[in-house]
Amino acid sequence: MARMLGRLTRITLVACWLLVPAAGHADVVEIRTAEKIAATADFRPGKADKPAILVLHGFLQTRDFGIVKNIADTLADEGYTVLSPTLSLGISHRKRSLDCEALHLHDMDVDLREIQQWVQWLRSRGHQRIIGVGHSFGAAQLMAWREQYREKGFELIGVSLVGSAPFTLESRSSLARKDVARKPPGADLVHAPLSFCEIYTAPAGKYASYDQWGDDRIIAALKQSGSRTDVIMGSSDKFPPPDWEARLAKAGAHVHPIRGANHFMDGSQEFDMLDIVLGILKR
Amino acid sequence: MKVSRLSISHWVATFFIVLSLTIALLCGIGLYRLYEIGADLDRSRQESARKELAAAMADLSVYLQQQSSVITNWDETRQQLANPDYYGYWKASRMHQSGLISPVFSDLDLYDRAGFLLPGGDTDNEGRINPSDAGKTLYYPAKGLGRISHVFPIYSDGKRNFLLGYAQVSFDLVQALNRIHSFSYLMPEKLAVRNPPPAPLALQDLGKSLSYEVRASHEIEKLEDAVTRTYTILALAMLIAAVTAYLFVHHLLARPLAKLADAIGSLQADEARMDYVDELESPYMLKELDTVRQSIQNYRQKLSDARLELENRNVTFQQQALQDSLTGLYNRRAFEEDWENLVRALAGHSESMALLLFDCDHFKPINDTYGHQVGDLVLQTIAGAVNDVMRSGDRLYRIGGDEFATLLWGADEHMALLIAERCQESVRKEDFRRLGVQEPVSISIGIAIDEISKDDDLTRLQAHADSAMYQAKRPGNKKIAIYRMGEASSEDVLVASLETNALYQALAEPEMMEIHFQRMQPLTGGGEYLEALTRIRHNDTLLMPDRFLPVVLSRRLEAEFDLAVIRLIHSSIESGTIPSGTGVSINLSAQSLHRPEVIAQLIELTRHAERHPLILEITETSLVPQLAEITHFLGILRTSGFKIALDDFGSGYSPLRYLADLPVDIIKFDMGLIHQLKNNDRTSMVVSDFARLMRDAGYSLIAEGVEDEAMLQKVSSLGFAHVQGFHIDMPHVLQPVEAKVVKLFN
Repeated sequence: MARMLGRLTRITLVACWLLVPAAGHADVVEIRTAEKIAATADFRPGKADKPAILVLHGFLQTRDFGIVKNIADTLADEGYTVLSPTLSLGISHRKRSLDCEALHLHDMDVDLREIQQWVQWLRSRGHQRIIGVGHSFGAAQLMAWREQYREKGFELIGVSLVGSAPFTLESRSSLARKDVARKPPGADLVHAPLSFCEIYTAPAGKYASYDQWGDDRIIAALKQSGSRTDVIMGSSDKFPPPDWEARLAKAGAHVHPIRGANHFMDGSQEFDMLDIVLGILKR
Repeated sequence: MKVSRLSISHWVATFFIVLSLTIALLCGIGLYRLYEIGADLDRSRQESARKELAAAMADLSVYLQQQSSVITNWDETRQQLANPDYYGYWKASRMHQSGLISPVFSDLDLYDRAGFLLPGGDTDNEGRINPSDAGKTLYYPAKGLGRISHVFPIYSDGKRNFLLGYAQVSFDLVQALNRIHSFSYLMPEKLAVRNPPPAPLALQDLGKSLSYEVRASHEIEKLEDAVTRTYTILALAMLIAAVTAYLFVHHLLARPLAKLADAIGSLQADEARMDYVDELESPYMLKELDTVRQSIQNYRQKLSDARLELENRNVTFQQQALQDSLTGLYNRRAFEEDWENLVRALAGHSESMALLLFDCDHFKPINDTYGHQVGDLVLQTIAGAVNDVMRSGDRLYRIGGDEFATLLWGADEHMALLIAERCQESVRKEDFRRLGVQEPVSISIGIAIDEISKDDDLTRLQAHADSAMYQAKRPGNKKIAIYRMGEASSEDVLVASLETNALYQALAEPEMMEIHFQRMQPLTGGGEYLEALTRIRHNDTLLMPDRFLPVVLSRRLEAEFDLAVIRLIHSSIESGTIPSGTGVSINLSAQSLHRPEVIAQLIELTRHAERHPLILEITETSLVPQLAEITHFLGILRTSGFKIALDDFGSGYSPLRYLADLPVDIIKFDMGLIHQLKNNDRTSMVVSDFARLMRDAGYSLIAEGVEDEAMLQKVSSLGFAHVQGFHIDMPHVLQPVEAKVVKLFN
């Protein structure tokens, strides 16, 4: 009953936010990367007694992606300081999701440096406790950043956490992908499956930078992280490999399954997901 | 006002032509109005097309702004400007596959902030753009309308704080306009630049320089087609109706009326055209016209009958007009018409023609003596006799009172003479005594032969025949004479003309006449007489009586001539030229004796009878007409003092009868008789005995033609009272000094 009341309360708040957009209006903040690319993020300061939340979108998406934005808005509404950047992917002021078919000139390292810049940006504003919330491969990238920048205490909530491996079995075993694997970094463009992209075009090295963050690499990162990692997974999410939740749990992640939820937590399962996220943050 | 008269067929045809033209005119007006509406619509469509083009260009400008914004906001564009390492690949494969680039654009090129083309991109554009062209849409004349360029800047953010570079899209103007605008009036594919400028032209200026064509309005075309088709069908229908109506009216009305008009015209023209007779036999479909047809048919029949009768009468009249009622011969008109026809038939060649003139000798005295009825019978007899011996086909004409003529076509002189002699012989064989005429009746024939051509007239040939007739009538001739050109006869024409002129001139001017006197010598003691013999002096030529007397006779001038002579003798007597006591013997034509003025003049002359005894010689060669009347007048003259002498006794007609009927005192023996006395034969004896017989009967005798002494002795022995002749005296003009007194004849 209390759970239902809480859900109604949130629904009401979201509705009010939708009706009165100004009330939840975020500031767009901008940083310039080492490649002189302008990267932007929505920043909504929250209560000082609450940790800052870095909400990161999934692979090739933006901060405006539905589930990501809902999470950010919900958290901001809950008084959390929320910074939801859009990884530039080598594009200044990127506004939209980058198509799979686009030429991908970004790589994992650049993405992690931008995350680092945003973390530093938060810290530079006095937010010492920062919790990362990532959706899909965004959670994996936060995990990779935590590992690469040795942020041992950095707590992380992964929603529908998946690696970069192609989502379908056919893609995972495609000849093109095997061909890419044989190419040395710096070789010419490759066209191979990656994540949800059936064809991902990128220079071989840049492709490989993402490709290495597959399921196993995530499990390995989890095991070595030493920090709390909560993972919210929908039971109807078809993208993760089988027994993914078990493997995550086994690797030390706190898995929060949501019955009937898909990869994007559509429908009423979104509120379940948000309840879980808020619940994790209130701990 | 002059009204041209046309046949009903023409009027009907004119009516339907005017009707057809009127319909055609109305159709034309309708089509013209339709074309005017079409023209208005065309102008309206032109204006609409112009506005459409302007709107399309404005839409294009907006569209370019929109698409520029799309490209500017496309992350991948900024990605390429930031990292152009794979620009070539991106442009070749990704850019067009992305679906973000409008298909309007045939190309998209990216340039860095300095305006240099990003490396690796395949393009037809230049390697560098002028950054100042940013925001402009330019038309390059060299590239044409197929490659318009639109350059715009690309910033890293919406606030345009950081310029990343430039983009240039190229597009085909026509395709672009077709894609972004729906054209109802304009034909974009027909767009063209009027007077292409040397320098690039901005899009807003390009619109003003575009020429275009307006899309044809299919509705108007369909409407025009429908109206034209309708008018064509209407015109054809009216044409067929007009032709049908024309044929109907023509068959029912015009043709019958035309036939009736022609039939009436033929009646008016007095033509007997049998085809109209046949056409009028067929009944007409219109009752009224058929009634007219029947009336004309009946009228035509009556007219035809009347015309036939008239023609018969005309033939009769014509025959009568050309026929002499007395003799039944052709008359003078027929003579002249036949001449004209013959000459006309000659065409271009000539033909020998003989004209024979016949003249009855002494017809007037016969007529006067025996009366007109007998004279007519004489003429009829002569006509019959001559006509009987004419050649087959030759015509005999009566051209005057006792003159006849015939034209002998192709006859030569021999043939003409043969026919003339045949005619003369035929007349001679006639017994005129059955008509009561005792004197022999003969004819003189003058013949003229010449080559006749179509330009010749009758006058010349007739004049020649007259001349020949003059010759024929000369005493002593055989009464047939032929006029011959170049011979004597031809000169006779002149002579005859000269004598005629001289005679008429002398009658008008008596001084031309000279009286020559020849002495009549007395043998038995009587007085001397001078016979007055007339001469005419004409142009130093002295004309003798044998030359002008035939003219006097032929012209019936006996009385006028005798009056002139009597006046001259009277003048000679009064002037004293004739010696006192010398008698004067005067020749007088018998025809003058019944002219009162002649008688009166002679009586006037008797005033000098005491000094100049007078003898009146009546020539015996001329038949004495109206014997009783003459006898009466001679009795008066005899009483008045004249002695009456019968001249030329022995030649001529019925001298014994005259002696019995006329109061004759003196018989003047003809020279021919006197010359017989020279012979010692039976004729001489008869003449001698006759002279003695006459003397014994109480007549005084005068001998003419005494030319020698032997003859003088002979006549003297026979008891002649006077002698006359060259042996005695030559005729001469009396001079006053020569005059001498002679002893009066007792």
